[in-house]
Amino acid sequence: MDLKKPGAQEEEDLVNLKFPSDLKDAKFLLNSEVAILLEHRKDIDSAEGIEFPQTFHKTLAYAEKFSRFKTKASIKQVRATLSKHQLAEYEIACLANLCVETSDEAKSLIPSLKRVKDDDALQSYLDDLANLRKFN
Amino acid sequence: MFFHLTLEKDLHIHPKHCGPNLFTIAQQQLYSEVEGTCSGRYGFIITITSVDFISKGKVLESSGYVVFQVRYKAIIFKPFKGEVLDAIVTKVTNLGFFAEAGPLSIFVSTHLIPSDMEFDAQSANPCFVSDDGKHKISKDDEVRLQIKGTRVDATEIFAIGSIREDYLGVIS
Repeated sequence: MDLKKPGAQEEEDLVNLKFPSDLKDAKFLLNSEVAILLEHRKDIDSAEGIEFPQTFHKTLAYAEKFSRFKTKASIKQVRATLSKHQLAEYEIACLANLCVETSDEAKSLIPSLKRVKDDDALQSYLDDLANLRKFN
Repeated sequence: MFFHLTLEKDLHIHPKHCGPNLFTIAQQQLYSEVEGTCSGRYGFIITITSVDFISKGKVLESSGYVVFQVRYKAIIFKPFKGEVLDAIVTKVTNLGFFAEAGPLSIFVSTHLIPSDMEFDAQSANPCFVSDDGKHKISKDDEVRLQIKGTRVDATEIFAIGSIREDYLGVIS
């Protein structure tokens, strides 16, 4: 029988893409999307003189620094390109945030991608991503 | 990793706010109570994107406070074990270095730094240098690291990172 300690946290398992049940409805975001959302919020509310907590500023700076795609249109394209190929949302977000170049690198950084047997296909997704970055 | 999640909360409103602006005030109160907090269960709640009042207010007979059940969507940041992310170095010591990824601080100990990199005590600003002198980690550098583990308190998350694996380290 499986006994669970009360209050014990379920652990995530990135190899099999298992997340705690609290997060089953979570929609993973790219850094670029976070940057746009926070910027938008800041524009609206700073006009009214609302102060933001420190984490807000830190996160905004971080998201902007590591945002790989600057426009809404390019983010949409990235999502459209990657969601065509049976990738989990988490993997899509990771690939777009890290901007890896080779399939070997992708498999090393995102362990769940090891289930993708076809290296050439994976490489072609990465090339698509790199092109999107270059031309936006 | 950032994500968008729907959360619920019981909001206690002081009776003096019960008037024409009740919902505006309640919403503001939710923002200030929730944004910038961190729970071990969900992670750092960065900002709220939308708010729904899903119940009618209930007056508590003991205190006169009104309780609303609210459902809100928020942008949350939570580090996962094994996740790879980019971070900015904030402090370098002889035991390792500290880095920040948004609201999260991460410590990378010397045991999890490749063995060919050494702490340079001579230089004016502390840094780790590789044997051949090509790679250097100092303050404000961008590093790609893997989360090895997290310590989760009720109000704080702290992470241990590694740059020992392939494809990790300073981002050029």
